[in-house]
Amino acid sequence: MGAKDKTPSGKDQILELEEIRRQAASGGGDKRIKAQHDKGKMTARERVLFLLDEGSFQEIDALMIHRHQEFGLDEKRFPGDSVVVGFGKVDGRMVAVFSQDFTVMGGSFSEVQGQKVAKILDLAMDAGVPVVGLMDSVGARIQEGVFSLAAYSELFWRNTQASGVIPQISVMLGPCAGGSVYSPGLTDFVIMTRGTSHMFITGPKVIKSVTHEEVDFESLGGAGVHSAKSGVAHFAADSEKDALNIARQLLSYLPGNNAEPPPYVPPQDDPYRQDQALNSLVPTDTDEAYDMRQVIERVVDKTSFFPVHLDFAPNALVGFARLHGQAVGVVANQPNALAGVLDIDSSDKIARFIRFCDAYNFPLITFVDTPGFLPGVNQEHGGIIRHGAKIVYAYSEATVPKIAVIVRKAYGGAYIVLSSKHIRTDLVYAWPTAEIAVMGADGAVDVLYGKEIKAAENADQAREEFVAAYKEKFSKPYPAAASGHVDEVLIPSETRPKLIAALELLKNKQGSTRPKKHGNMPV
Amino acid sequence: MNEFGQGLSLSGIGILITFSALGILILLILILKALFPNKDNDLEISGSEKSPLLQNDPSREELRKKAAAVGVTVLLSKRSFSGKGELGSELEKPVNAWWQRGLGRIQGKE
Repeated sequence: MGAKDKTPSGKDQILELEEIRRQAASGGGDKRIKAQHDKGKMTARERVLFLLDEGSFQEIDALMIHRHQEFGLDEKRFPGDSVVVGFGKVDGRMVAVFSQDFTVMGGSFSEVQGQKVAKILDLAMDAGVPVVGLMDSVGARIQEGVFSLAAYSELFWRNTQASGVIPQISVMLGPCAGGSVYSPGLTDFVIMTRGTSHMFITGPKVIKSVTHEEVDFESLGGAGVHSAKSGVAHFAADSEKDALNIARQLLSYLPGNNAEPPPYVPPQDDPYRQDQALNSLVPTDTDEAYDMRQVIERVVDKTSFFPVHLDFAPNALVGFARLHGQAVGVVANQPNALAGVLDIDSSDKIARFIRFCDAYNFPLITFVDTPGFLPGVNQEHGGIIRHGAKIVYAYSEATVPKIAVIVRKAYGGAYIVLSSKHIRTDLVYAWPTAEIAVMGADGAVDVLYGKEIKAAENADQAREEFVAAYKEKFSKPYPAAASGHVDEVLIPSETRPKLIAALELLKNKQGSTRPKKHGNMPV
Repeated sequence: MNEFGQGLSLSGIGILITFSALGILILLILILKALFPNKDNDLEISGSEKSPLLQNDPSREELRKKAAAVGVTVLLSKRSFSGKGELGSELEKPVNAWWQRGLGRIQGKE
């Protein structure tokens, strides 16, 4: 056989492959890409490239096409279909990523999209790397019928399987409606973009026809409403790039999987630093508010506090931070909002964050200053018992190092939940301003000395005297320290080195739980 | 002098020396007490069985405050994070097998 009869040379094959790759990379075509740009949005690939370290993206399944014929689908076949899938690095650490391509049939969730996303999730779980989903889709591909729904099922099932195994982040960059919202709803963190991303089960038209309520997209399911009211979104970004930067920043705190400790970052701050401003930050008047965020930021490594769910339930603060480079989860009451009281939303916010921290080995630091649970008919009828129980459950279940700093008020159930040794908090520190009691002085005096006050000649004076005596007894941390319920009373400025020393002690803490299939958390 | 008389006189000399020494010591104490008077009361108070925290003598309030301040200063100087003790060095090391074993047990691998 002569040389002429041989199959095309390797060079031709490479040229052919390059042409196929070019086609795949063009998504839904130049016209649709331009339309996407005109809306101020990036394409699926541009988003992936922005998210990942330069040159690190490795795409897979770029050539998959669907097999459906109905409703003209046979004429709409695009290599890679409506999602870009692959893996790459963020700050040098591997992550898996999928990015819905709105230029291909509106990013509709097809059988192929489902298969591709399922594959990358399986790979991520096997490899133990976080997964980031960049969502921009009109929803299920109606033309594919049950195949599209089945694909969603596969995704939801995998989201659930991956929960607690690898961190999952959803970045919402476009519409997300109907059943498709459950995928981001199942992931650990949801980042929404103001103006361009919307999430809802039923849209404004359906709502109007059923309940006669008139509402627009933004008021119904925009970033503002989900980050502040519903709590569905953990972060609200001003732009796509801002959203992707938040994802990068978030990833810098997260371990690859549940068997790894959170990444250690060489510290830039002095472990011995004692911020003297802490000593005068808490007002002497116990009814006066102050910003707990300032306390946190003065204690943890400088600029390391990264709040999560900042706009939702502002009476509680949760977020990641670093102490001498060790990533920790921070939970705190915020006296600046509703006096730091615990209500339904803040209970949900705190409990969910604690469970994430416990699943991914973040030591928990709790700064306590709360008068307790919010009283009220709305709260009781809204299920404060059920929601409050979530915090109890989450703290009790957590086996990671748990350290509490009682800054000021720790009353009743809130003390039990947030800082009690008996709920297995490893170390409880208190500031000299700490008040540990069953309830506040005014309420307690009414219960304890109601008759005496009534019988007194001057009721107001008698009441004041009883309140003063109660405060003398319980408005200091020393009785609790004397009984061992508080491990040490700290000068506030000592808090940082004390916490670092405590983290050193508990670094290799072995937790233990009873064997069980799973608990039955009050959800 | 027989042996009995000799022993008796030696015993007498020994007793005399002992009591003379005692006498000298008593004399010395009396002289010292005369030189440094009014110290007995304080010794008696400090020897009291009551905790100093329970003393309510207003004349001692100032002294207690000073003592507390000195105590706090000493305590702080002893435990101040002055750069000694390699604070945070444990956090710079990777987790160890103890941690892995605990995690394995929680995850049901052991």
